[in-house]
This record gives sequence, C-alpha cells and structure tokens, in this order.
Amino acid sequence: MLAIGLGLIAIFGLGRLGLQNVKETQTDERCVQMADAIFETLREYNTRFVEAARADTDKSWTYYWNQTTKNEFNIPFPPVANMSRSDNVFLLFTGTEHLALAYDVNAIYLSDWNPRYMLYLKDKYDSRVANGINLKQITLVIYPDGDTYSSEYRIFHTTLTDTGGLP
Amino acid sequence: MTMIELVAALALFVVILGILTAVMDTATNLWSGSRSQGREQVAAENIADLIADDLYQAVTDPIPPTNGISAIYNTFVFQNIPSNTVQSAPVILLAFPRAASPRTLDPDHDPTTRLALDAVFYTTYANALFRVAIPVHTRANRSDSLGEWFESYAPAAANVSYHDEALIPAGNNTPDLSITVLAERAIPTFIAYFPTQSYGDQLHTNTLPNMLDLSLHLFNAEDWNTYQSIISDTAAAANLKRAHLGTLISRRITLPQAGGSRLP
Repeated sequence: MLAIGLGLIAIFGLGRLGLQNVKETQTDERCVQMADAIFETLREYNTRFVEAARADTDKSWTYYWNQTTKNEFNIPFPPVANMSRSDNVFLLFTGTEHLALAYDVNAIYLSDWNPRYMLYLKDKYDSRVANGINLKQITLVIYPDGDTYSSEYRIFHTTLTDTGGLP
Repeated sequence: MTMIELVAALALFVVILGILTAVMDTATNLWSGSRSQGREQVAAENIADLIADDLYQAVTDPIPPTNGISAIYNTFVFQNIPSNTVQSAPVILLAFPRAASPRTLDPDHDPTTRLALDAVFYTTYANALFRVAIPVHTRANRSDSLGEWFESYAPAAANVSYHDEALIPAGNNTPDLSITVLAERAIPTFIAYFPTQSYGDQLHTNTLPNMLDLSLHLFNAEDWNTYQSIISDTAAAANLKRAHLGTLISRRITLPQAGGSRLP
C-alpha cells in the first residue's frame, strides 16, 4: 500500500508539474504575441510622428512622444488573439510604478486571457545632427496572471528612432 | 486469507486500477492535445511570418495609367469570408504585388519580359489556405499599369485545377506555378487600417494600408469537426467551446508605405 501510495503521489506530482509547464509555455507565446502587437502599433505611431514633425517644424518628434506618454492620444489597444475584444481598452503608458489593464473590466470573458502590463519610455541617445534625442527605448513588462501573480512577469524592449528628414 | 479478505483486496485493487486508468487517460489526452496545439502553433506562426514577409515587400502604384485607359486598377485586395461557407471554387482572400523572389517559379520561362515583381495571392479552397505567387511579365507593345498586370493574374491564381493538384498531388500533374498549401483547415481574418479608417470585411484599393491585423485560426481534424458541428450555435456554452478549439494566433503587420521601422 505504501508503494502504491508513493507511486500515486509521484504521478499526481508529475502531472501538476506538466500542467504548470504547459501553462508557462502558452503564457510565453501569448506574451510574445502581445508584445509584438504593441511594439508594431508604436512603430506605426512613430512613423506618423516622424512625418508630422517633418511637416510641422514647430512640433518635434520628441513633442509628439511626450504627449503620447502623457496618454494625450487614445491609442486603441491592438487586437491580440485570445484577449479582450472590447473597443474601450486603450494602450496606456504607465511609468514604472503602476500597472494597466489589458482588458475591459465591464466585458470580461471566461475564455479570454486578462493580463496586466507596465509600459514606459526612456530617452536613449541624442544626436548632434538632430540636435536632440533621436532614439527612445520602450519597455513593456507583462504580468500574465493579472492579480494572482502566479506566473513570472515577462520583459520586452524595443527602440524607436527619429529617422528625421527635410520638411 | 479468508474469502472476505480476498474479495476486499480485489475490490480495492479494482478501485485503484480505475483511478489510475482515469488519471493516465486524462494525462494522455492532455499530452496529445497540447502536442497537437504546439504543432499548430508553430505552423500558424510560420504562416504569419510568411504573410508578414510578403507584406513587408508589398509595392503599389497609385498613379493613373498612361496608356489611355482611365480606370485605376486595384493593387491591394482582401476579403474575409464567413467561416461557415465551404468554397467549391478558390476564393482570393488577400492579393498584392511584391518585390520578386528568385524562388518563384516562372511559367512563362521568359526572363527578358520578367519584371522585378511577383503577384502574390492568398486563397482558400476546401477549407485549406494556399499561397500562389506568379511572376509579373510585360506584354508586347503594351504599357499596362501595375494594376492591369496584377488583375490579369487573378484568374490563374483562382484556378481550381491548380488548387486540386496542390491539395492532392497526383503523379506528373504538378502545377506549373508556385502554389503552396499552407494549412489544411484554416480560418484567416484581416483588418486593414488607414490613419483615419479601418476595414474589416473587404478592401479593394490601389494604396497600401498603414497596418494589417491578421488573425489565423488553425484546426486539427478532430477540432475542425467539432467546430463545424457548433458553428451556428449561439449558446454561451458553444461560444466558450469554440474559443477553445484549434489554435488562434494574431499578428499586427505595418506595411512599408508607413515606413514602419524594422529595427528590433
């Protein structure tokens, strides 16, 4: 009986470990998809800002990004598979102290993945030619299990460049 | 050992065996399910990469043609089809010209008229997803616009026999153009974005959108059958079940017109 008991404990233990690993792998894939969609959205906005700064010499590329980090523009949260499809979720720059929700609290679905995230931007390098900062580093920290913290956070980085150009 | 002890021991043995069988069965189902999903996940990511690679090299020519034809032809086309329709003929889901790839098979075998462009079509037929690439050739004594060239390749891209031959390879009947089956059971969906407007059903235009959202739902045979059986069911349980069938991935792709930085 002792041997059977130990065997059962081992089987259940391994099963639990296996399930946790499957969940972590799935979380990795979801985080990569979410980070890719957010970074691609920011790259697209970066292009708009480069163009806008080129057309209007009064407002620089840095100005537009400063406005963005103050959440002056309502950037819709990009659609990501298995995440909230609500139109009321926006991409928020949180700074390093707060977390934002990647879901609409009024439209939560059982089948959706509901993570939280931290998104912030730092000036990286300045250029003598641009006469100012022309590269910004974006950091995205995803907390996959929202409130429970049962899964480790994942960190992603990307850089956005002011490619400049004549007006 | 008395008879009662023997019966009790056997009963206990049967109970333990039952529990073990149930546990092993669940574990096996979970394992095979996650293995199948892992395989589909990799396939879906590869397909999304392929579509993204094509779109990153998409080209367009929105300038009116100079050959006297006033019509402006579309060079970027997509349409989403309802997932509960079975196509008896191939349907073009996404189409655009891109910079030529040296790996694209050239059915015309004439390098002197070949342009540095390929017409790329993503099609669906019998629930499968295909990619068709056709090299663009100039035509004798014609100065067609890019759109006219591009549209003239659509009938070949939607040819039933090419799709049949790609789906069921039979001897020497290999298609004489680059056609690839990307997935046997797939539901792709697109949303195109311009700075002030988005298109979720279809788009026929001669300018490239800023972004394209791609969602790709791949299924194994078992999940596909279950999905089809509840596709019209609007009950909450069916909605929940549909969300757990197959593998769903998404990808946001910025097109070159937007000048999207490809820096890491």
